[in-house]
Amino acid sequence: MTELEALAVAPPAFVVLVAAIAAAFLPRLYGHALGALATLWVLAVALFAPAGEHWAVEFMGFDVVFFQVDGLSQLIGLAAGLLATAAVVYAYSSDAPRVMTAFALAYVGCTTGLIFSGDWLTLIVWWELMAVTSTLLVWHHGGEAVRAGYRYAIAHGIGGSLLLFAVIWHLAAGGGLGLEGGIDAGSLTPLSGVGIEATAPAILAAVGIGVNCGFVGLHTWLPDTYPRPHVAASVFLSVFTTKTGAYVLLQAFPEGSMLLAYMGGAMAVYGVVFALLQHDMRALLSYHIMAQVGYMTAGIGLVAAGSSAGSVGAMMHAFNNVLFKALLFMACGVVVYRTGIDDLYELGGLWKKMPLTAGAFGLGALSITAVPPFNGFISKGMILDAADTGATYANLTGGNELVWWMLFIGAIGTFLSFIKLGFYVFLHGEYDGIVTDATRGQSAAMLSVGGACLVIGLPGVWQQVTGVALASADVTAIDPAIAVDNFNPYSTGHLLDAAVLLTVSVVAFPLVRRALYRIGHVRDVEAVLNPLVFYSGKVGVYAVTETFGAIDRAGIRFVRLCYWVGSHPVVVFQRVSRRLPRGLRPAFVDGPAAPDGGQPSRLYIRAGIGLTVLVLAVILTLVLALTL
Amino acid sequence: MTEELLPGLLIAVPILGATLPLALGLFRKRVGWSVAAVVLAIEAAIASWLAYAIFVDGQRVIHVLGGDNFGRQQTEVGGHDTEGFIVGIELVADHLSGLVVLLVALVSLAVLAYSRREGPRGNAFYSGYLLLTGGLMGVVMTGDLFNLFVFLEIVGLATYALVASGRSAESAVAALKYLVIGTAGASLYLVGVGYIYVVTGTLNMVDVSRVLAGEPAWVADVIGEGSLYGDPLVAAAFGFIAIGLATKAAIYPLHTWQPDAYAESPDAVTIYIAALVSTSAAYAFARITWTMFTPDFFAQSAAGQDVLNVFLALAALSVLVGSVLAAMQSRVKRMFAYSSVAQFGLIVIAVGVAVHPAAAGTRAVEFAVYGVVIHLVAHAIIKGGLFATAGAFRSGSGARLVADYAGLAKRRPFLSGAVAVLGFSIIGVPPTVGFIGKWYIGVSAVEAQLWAVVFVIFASTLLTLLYVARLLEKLYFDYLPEDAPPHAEASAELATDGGRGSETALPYGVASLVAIATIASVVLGFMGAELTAMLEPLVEAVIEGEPEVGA
Amino acid sequence: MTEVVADWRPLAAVLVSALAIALIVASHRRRNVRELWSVLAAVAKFAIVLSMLPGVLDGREYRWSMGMVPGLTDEFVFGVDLALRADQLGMLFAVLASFLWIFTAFYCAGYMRGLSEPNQTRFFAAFAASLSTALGIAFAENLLVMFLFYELLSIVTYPLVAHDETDEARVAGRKYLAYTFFGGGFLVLGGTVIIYWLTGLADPADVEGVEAGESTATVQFGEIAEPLWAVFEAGAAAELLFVVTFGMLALGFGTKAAIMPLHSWLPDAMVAPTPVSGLLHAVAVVKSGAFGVSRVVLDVFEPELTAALDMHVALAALAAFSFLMASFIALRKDNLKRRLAYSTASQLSYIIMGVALLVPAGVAGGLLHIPAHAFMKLTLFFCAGAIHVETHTDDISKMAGIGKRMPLTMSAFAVAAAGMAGIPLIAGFVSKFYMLVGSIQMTGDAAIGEPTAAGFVFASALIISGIMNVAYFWPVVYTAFFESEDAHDAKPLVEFPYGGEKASYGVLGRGGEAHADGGEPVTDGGSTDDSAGQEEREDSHTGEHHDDHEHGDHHEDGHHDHHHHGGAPPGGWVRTSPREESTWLMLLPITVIVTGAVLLGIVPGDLAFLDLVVEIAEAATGGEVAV
Repeated sequence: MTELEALAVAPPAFVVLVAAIAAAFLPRLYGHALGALATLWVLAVALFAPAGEHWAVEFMGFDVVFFQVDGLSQLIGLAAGLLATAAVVYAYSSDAPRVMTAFALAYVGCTTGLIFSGDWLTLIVWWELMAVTSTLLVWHHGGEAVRAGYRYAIAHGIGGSLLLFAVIWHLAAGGGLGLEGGIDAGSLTPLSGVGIEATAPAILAAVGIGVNCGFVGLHTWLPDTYPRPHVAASVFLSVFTTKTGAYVLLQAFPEGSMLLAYMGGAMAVYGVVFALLQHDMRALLSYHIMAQVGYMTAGIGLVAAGSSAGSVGAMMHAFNNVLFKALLFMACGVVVYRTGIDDLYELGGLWKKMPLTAGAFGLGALSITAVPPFNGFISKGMILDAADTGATYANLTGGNELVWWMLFIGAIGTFLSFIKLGFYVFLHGEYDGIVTDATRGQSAAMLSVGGACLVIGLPGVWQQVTGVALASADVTAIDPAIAVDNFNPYSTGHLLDAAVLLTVSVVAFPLVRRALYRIGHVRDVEAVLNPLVFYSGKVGVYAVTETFGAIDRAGIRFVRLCYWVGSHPVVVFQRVSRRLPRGLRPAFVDGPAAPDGGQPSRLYIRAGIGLTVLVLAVILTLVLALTL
Repeated sequence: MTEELLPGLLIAVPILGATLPLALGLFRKRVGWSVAAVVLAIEAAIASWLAYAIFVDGQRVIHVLGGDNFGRQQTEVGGHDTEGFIVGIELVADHLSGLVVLLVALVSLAVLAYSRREGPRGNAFYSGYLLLTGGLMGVVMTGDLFNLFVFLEIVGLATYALVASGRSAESAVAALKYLVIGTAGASLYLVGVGYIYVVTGTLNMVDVSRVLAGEPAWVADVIGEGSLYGDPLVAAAFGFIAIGLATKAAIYPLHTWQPDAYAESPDAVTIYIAALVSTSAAYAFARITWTMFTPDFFAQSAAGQDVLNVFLALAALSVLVGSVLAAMQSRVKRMFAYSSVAQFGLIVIAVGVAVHPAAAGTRAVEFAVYGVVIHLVAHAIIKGGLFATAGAFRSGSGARLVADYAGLAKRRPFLSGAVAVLGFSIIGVPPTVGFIGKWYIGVSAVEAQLWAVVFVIFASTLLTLLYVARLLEKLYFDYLPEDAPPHAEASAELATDGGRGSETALPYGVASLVAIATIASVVLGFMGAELTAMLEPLVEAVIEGEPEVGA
Repeated sequence: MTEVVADWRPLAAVLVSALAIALIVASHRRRNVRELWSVLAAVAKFAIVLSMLPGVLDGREYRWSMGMVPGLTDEFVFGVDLALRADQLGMLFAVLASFLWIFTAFYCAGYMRGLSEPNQTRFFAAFAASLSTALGIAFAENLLVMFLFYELLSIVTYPLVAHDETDEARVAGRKYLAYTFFGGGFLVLGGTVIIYWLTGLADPADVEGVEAGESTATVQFGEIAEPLWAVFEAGAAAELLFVVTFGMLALGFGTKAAIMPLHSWLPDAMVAPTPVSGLLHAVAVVKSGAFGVSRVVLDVFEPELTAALDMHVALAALAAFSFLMASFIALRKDNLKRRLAYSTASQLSYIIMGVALLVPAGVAGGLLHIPAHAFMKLTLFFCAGAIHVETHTDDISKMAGIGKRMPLTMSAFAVAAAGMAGIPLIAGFVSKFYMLVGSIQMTGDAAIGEPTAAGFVFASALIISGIMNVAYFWPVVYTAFFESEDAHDAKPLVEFPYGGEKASYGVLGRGGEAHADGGEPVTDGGSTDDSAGQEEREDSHTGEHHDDHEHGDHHEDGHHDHHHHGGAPPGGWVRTSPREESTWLMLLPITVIVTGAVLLGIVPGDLAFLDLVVEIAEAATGGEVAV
């Protein structure tokens, strides 16, 4: 076999997982080195492994494809492998503990598994394992991260279970386990009754995946978890969970859905609004993850509106987002690493002290804000076009005005918040105190990723990536090829848009700046959601336990009573007969009682001869009465 | 050939033997036990021979007291021709009585072995003992209603004597109580017999049954109808007889004599009467109800049916109340005594179900018969064994109260084990004979669809558990204050008999009795099929309403 | 078609441990010999059972009957044989129980010695006896024989529950006997008798293999349904009777499976030594209950009649109710073993629900959960026991940071806990997956994939309870590994205000006074001991072990936490290597069993269990498990 096929021998997930285990025990340096090699293997697989189904096996009595390479998985795998390698380097140079990197690598491994899985069962398996491993990654930092990690675990437990539910329903409905065709089986009738033209499994899937994508309302875990763990851990986390979420979303809804499109728009707006209000740098970035995934969700959803380029844009944006979002987390991570400060208002003027970090941050910021010629500009442009109803070129008939505006507002918000972030952290004022710039490894990681952000955006390069991204044609219904061929990010229209955005934001920032500062920190829906979950849980638990407890106590009290009566018949007899009117009261009752209520004294309540004969007579008369 | 003599011998041998201890006692003390042993050994041999004749050769052995010059003859009674009533007293050994005869013979021997060391000593005791045995044999085998009364009285008197041999004030009181109540019961029975004689002009069970069924031609002339079942006098007779025997069998609320008698009499006596006396009464009740009155009577006489239901109700009541009272007792012997009240409740239930109209035509009859006989045997074995252990605990460890049993398992593993096995057997846990009996009684009640009764039967499992578990918990999982709390391996090491100085080793007689009872209760648990096979003829007779079993 | 082979092995499998009892008692003075007998018996038992497995998988059934003993007849009571038959369903249970006993035997030795418990001989004897009876239940050929062993099982496990001879133990024992005898002697026996009567009402013409005049009455598994159905069709008995009978049998066996509201004996029975809680009250005994329910549904009434009576919905609903309630209660338990007990109660209801779904996948899932849950829960109990022996810690609230002290144990615990929550690659996921498929397929008349309201509810119940498993198991994991002795959340969480409460043992010297921080929300439950009484019982419990402790062979670290009731010793948990943390007698079983749990999750197809359950399910429902 050729060396390329050699890549297909073992699922890359296994390679990384083995490295993860090794990294837990090897010395830091070797462990990290091994990890980096493993992630490079992933990269190689994504680039060179022959497409097709490898490792079709039987699992749990089902035929599954454990390792499948196709265009889409190549694209996402590429990003994952590339970034993971950089992140490992970054982790090493940010003195991440051995075990933490091991967890991180396990997390990467599961992600890889998910990306290259060829059926829903395999996919859900890795999906759940991602949740577990990422939880461990968060927990490992200890302190506040533990509780946050626990909430994270429950959120993803719910999400995972719902997706599992959807997959199983899809399976039970005869939809099989194959990925093609998305999650809802033809045999299922839409829940028109509820007023939505979607099937139950589809809805379950949407919500389940939505947890990972950070749909509005399901996103609380995002800003809650990501700022807490080790800076290097945040870098890993910021990349995989959400972006694979978008990837699975496309797998599940190749036809898209306007509901998703609107949700995407909402996420974009909601994300940036809250991002603007954050103090904690990593919290701000987390909200931007939500916003950016919003773009992808919108892109996927817009396929339903006939904008075939949407899915391509979404996947490209996922690809780019992996790079620049990680880059931003790295940069801010370095700041936290060096200064130990999370609050951007407490920082300032760092560009002098750490120019390299500032530069890296700049690259990331320019990419995420879609300034030409950075990669964000390309993919975001494509999504905006997909939303644009005024078709500027062939085959872009669809689109949706509302979604377009929401995304546009999102874009402005993105600009504003990154101007804010950059301004307060690097420009504004002076940073008094000694602080050195990023370590060598950190720099290497940041610059390589940053470089990628720049290069991918350049004319001539981006087409290559789009070419790969076109692979999403595998899954989508409408062939987006033409759309993509005619797509030109550097059209005047796009450049104009970019210019408008830039100017609006630059003008607006000074106006809103003070306001933002004054508004300060605003509680998100979590302020309602988490107490809701907690108290409903608590009430439920108390209700149940108290009820059962009461029943149990009552039962025990009754049994105790019986025991007592049984062992103190005399006392009982006396107490009862004392209540009788004098006439009926047996004579002996007034006699000495057994106060201790101990032994039934034999003279008391034992039927004597007379009584027995009386009873005998009674029964006899009864019998005779019956016979006559 | 000579089998005809066996029934007579079975009764004669012990009664005559009863005189020997007293007679020889004049010359030598302590001769009683040996004499009794010899007599009962012979008795057992005869009984086995008889049983062989019945169950293997399948004959129905009849002995007419007074020999061949009596027998069926044309006589005139009350102005009409009797068409060959039996003259003289008939002793019947058939599939029903044969089994009980065997039981009586063996138990008597076993209990005698027990009394070797445990006493009570004295020749008078052994005379009474033999007399009682003879009486029981008579009750079991007689085919004559009045003769049955006579034997019941013999049994009664002998029992009073034995109970009183406890020589304590309590035992005297208990004996007196038994005397009065027992006699009251017996006399009521006698009244019932009187009615029967008035109606039918005979006292032989077979003949009575025939006449009641209206088989002889003259019955029709007299009554003008097919059978005498409608006659209120007959129903009344059944009522009297039933009450009388229920009193002897200690059915609630006529049981009051029984706990005192059991608790106050010497251990050996307790074992014996617990195993056999009530058993014989219950047997008599079954015999009369089944083969003399027969299901047809209850099917045709509304009154008879009502009376039967009353007794079913009483029996059910005595299952419930008996168990509860047992659980309330603080003295072990009283506990077991009340347990007998409950167990006989079950037996009487089954006796009633067998002839109950609701059961007619279903397999309930069959199963009820199995249930009664097997549970009679089972109860005799189990209760005998339990009282034997109680006695052994008393004499060995001085334990009378349930509380005294705390932690004794570690000192008396053998006895405790026996209590456990016998206890679970009385609860009705398979595979023990207790379960077999209970199973058939339960099935019959269900087949007859008497749901209330069904409920009582199955509830009795739990009620029985109440007092058995109480005892076992004391034995195994509790310890006396003076003992240190169970510690490390020490307790396990102590697993040998005789720990405290006060304790004595187990006499062989006692040990063997306990062991036999325990083993029997388990082994018989696997012989359900064999037991039922033995009873086939009886079942047919009951179903057919045929008074002569196995004829 | 199955061929029935006369064979002594079923009896041998049952009796081998009964024989061991004699040897154990005989050698009560030399404990190494004594334990050796246990192990040998366990191995022999497993070997015998295993030797029958291939045949059974080929559809053969091995039958022993009393008639094979010279001079005896088959008949036990009229018309009912005393016979043992190793069929597929029975083998499922038998293989499981006998396999797990091998390692439990080692663990027992380690545990009982570690605490130098009293009455060890009685303990090992009763343990062997309960395994005998458990196999008897597995191989019982008819309801009556099953009842026989069912009662014996109650009896022989009673000494294990009351083992401690403390008041608490005695009370627990009473409760145990009362519940199981109500379930067995009253409900099951009653139901059996009624079945025997009902089947007898059938017209011989309607039942094949019965000549006219013969009785159709039977309690034989697999032969009951036909006459029963005939009677039902003919309307010879009121439908209510059938319903009542089903209820009696299902609840009767359900009692041992701790189905609500007959569950409360199980948490109390946790006073027993942990190996008992592990093998018996998570596997042998309680599973015999679930197994009995499966027999009732699959071999007594059989799906057709069960469905005709609508009992499957009722039963599944009851089960769903139980496992949700049990999960709620578990959230509030602080005592680890009690939390596990409630988890057991809920997991057993999974089995019952799965079987009650009456669709191939559901039945397969339910039955597969028998081994799946067995491996996982046994691991959890073994871990709890090891923690108790090594550190005398019983309460979750005292386990912060214990991962350092017992890395291997707690890792095993974490894996098993994840499995409980249905995380893939662990046994729990597989069975739960099938059960979910089943509940969706539980279609009534609607087209596949349009689940009945009931099916949807059951599926949702499974999902919810899975999440609750995360909620009540994972705090144990994170507190053990990721929280420190002096800075952790006060457990159980629902007991404390929203946002949780910082707690500390103050064993590390610094800080320690607990103070509320209005901090982060908690979205999980918590627990208390339901009564102060229990609290002190627990103390007296551990208290008891102290004096035992003086002359027990145990680890140096036993001395440290000798004078306080569990929790971290001064200076915090000692970091210990996995090899040192406990005796091999306990670590080996834990490792093996948890490995088993994982293997069941990764390659279920290569272990006999999946094949067995698939064949059983397809035979019973006549459908295909594969979708």
